[in-house]
Amino acid sequence: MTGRPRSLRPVGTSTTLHVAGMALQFVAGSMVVCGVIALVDGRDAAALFSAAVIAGMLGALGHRGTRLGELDRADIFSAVGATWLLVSVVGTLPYLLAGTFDRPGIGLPVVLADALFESVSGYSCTGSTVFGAHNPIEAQGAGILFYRQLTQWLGGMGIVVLVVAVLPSLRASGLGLIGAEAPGTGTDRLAPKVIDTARQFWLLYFGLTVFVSVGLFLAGMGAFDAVSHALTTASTGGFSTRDGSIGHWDSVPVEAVLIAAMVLGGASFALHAASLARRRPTHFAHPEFRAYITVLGGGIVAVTALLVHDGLSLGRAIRAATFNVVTLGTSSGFGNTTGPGTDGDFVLWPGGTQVILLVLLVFGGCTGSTAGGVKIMRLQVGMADALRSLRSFRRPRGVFSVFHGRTVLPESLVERVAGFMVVYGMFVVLGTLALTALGAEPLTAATGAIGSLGNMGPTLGEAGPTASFTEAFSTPARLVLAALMVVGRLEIFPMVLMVVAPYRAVRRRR
Amino acid sequence: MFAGLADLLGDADHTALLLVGGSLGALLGVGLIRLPVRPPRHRDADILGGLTAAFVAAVIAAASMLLATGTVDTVDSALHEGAAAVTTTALSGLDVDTLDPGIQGFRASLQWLGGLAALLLGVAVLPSLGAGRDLADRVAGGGLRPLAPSGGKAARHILLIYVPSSVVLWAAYALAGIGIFDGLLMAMATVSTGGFVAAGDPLNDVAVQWIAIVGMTIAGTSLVILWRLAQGHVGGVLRSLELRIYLTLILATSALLVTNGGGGLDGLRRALFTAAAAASTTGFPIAGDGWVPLIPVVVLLITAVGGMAGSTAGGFHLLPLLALVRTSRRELMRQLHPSLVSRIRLGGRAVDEATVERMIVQQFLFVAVVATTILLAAIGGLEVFDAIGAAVHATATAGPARAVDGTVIEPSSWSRPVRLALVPAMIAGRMAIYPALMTFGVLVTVAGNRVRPRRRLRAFRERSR
Repeated sequence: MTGRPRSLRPVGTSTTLHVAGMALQFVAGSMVVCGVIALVDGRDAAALFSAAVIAGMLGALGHRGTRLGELDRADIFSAVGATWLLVSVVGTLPYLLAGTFDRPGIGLPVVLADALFESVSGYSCTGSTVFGAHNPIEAQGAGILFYRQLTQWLGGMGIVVLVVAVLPSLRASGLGLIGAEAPGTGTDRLAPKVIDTARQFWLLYFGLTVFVSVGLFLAGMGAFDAVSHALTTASTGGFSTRDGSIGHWDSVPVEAVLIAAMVLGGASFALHAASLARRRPTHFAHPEFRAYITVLGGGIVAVTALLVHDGLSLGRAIRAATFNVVTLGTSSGFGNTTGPGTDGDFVLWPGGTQVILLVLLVFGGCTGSTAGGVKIMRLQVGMADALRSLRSFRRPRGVFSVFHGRTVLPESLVERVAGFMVVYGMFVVLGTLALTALGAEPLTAATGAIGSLGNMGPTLGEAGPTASFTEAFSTPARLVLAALMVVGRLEIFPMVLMVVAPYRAVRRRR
Repeated sequence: MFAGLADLLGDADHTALLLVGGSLGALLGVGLIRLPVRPPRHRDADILGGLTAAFVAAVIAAASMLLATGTVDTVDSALHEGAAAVTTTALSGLDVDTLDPGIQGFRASLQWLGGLAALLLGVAVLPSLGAGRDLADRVAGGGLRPLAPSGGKAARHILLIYVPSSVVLWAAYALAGIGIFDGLLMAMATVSTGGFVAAGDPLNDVAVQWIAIVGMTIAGTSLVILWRLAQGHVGGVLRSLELRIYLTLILATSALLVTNGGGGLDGLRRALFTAAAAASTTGFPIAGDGWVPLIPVVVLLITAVGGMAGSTAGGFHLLPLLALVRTSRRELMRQLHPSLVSRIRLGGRAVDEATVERMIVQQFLFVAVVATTILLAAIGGLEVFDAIGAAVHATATAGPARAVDGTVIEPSSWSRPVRLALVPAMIAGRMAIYPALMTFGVLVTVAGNRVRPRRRLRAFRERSR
């Protein structure tokens, strides 16, 4: 008898379940890796292996129990949105089974909410955390710590991209899936075949992670911490294995390696690929990268000047400004404060510096990178469109194009960018209203909404680099933040259309 | 001139100065109108550039007069106070109880003229932003009646509504018992959505508050709506989606405030007052102590949105916001159907794509102006939320900003850089962003063409070689 056993044969057609099932199998694999690591200190290994079995079974059921259907755009958005939801929910299992968030006097709903928040924050590469003084990160076992870091690494390049890399049956539809998941205005093909493009993206990502691991190890971190932080640096995630984040080491070489890695992580991976292919850096030929470096450089200079004006010595100001501008400008969210009130605690900096950091939170990194935010290219297109509009006032009969560098952008792209920024702004406003309605202080709520939608991590107000989100936000507010994180990671449309498309289909049938 | 006469009600120590200043201003104005050779045709850009220049000149003239009368001591304060008056913002650090009647009259008249100028500007700017066809349209379509068939006639109709509204409000305030002069000042501040309060805090009076609620709500309503109402077309007016949203925003915010600040008629009145002051961007302040975190955010948001297009209210305006909501919905659908052809409809009429694009760009520029102002105000020393509040209020021309707990922030405590940073935002906001930024762009281009830094740098390098 040939073929699969009868029990594993597909029973129906569902692209969403097929793709999500495959993604869950990767999640299960990551849990197995962490379970093996947990065997070293003997803590939480059973929880991690149990979670892996459950995730693996669910994944096998979804993937092998269904076959791929024809993919239209609604299916693509549904597949990507549902995959992220399922992965985030199943990603809570290790925390729940290990009792990571169990505390005396805390009910099950809060534990579930905390686990979901940490899982979503991990996979979406946001880096906000519910760990804190009440539940220190360093009190966790190595397995759970590594799992937490690994969630960000998987989410950084995109778990759907990973699925595309191993599913040849997706063919050209894979590009749509990558496009729906990857941040930016489109997907650069690195190879003629979509599957090869996905594999090259992951290979580059893996290479960067290895490179950063070695760099951090040489800079003085232990092997475990170096690998763990490399995972969340390449993904511009920001989770740390220490309560004091990078401030724990208080080391200039460590910060220097991380700064370089974060800048690379926030730049387009297609540019990295092009540079490797040509064996010379070609980044500065791209207008978005030039603007990205200019924004970061300008931010560092301005924040340094304001900190020096506030009384900090030049050396300390440069160090604090460079690290925090880069970590927020690339949406990483690491902290280099060595305690409340020290140099890196940016919520205590002068108002001007905080506004600069807030602007950087909104900007984010480049398109095609692992960074969040609106993205530099969109802002460039928005500015070019605004200038064209002002010009057309002066010359009403003139025909003006929108340029990005020397390239004329198609009107459809300009409209898409404008539409995205409108929707983005509306989500920020709605998120702020929801968070303040749930009791958050206005500045914390506004920056929390911006930070979560842009997958940043620490924000201004009460959720700064030394604060836990359990202190700054109520449990329902944290769930709102988690929703914003997923919506922001997928750049809004997939999550919204996952709900809207079936609703419209049902309404049409009626 | 009006202020000079008003000063006679006090000790008359500024009367001569104000009268001479007014006369000189009038002479200069007449001279400027008559002297230059008129261009063969006026482009939109020329009109907008001219209006921007007029606003800036008015701010400088007002600042000069405030300095000359000794009302303020420094140039930055004078510019800030001048801009706060001309742009109907009322972000003033002056203690009104210490001001002479002449200066009070001067500030009120500047606000009244600023409001009128904003309405006239609307006729010039709004056609490009989707609302102008209601103000001045040669082809009345879709069953809607525009204010007038041409820009010139629309301007006359604007005066026909603005002046009588001011007189009716003046009479109402005077009858409420605050005196004829204070009533006039309050009427000017209300109808222009200016927000300067007369001396002696007349807003403590219950009747005055009710009159202000009605006055502010009307001031934030489109003149087209008021014109149709005056002509008896009530049914058509009630079909206006923009009006319904405007009134819903005021009522919803009031309901939220009532739940926080206590019920009863007193609570309802205070809630309606705060909501109308914010939505119409008048900014008459009454204390809002002990607000829950949601309320300052909601009040700030409806202040940023402002009133209806074609009113004296500042802010982003409801019509562009409506267009943005519909654009975002269309964009969502375009993700599913990339070739979708769909027109945005406003007020029953399809809006052309160039206008939609300008509305989106206007939002982008509004946010850019607010963000820049926040940055400058924060660098100038304000806390982040205070800087956000000050920038939004300045750009929306909406009067005193509020702290996180709802208390009114006193602008007199602001540093010199903060006061100066808010002046461009007030002017840009009062001019619906576009004209001010376009004029700024022209100035930069002209300066760039004169200086030609790149060419000079290149030449310098070549010479050095």
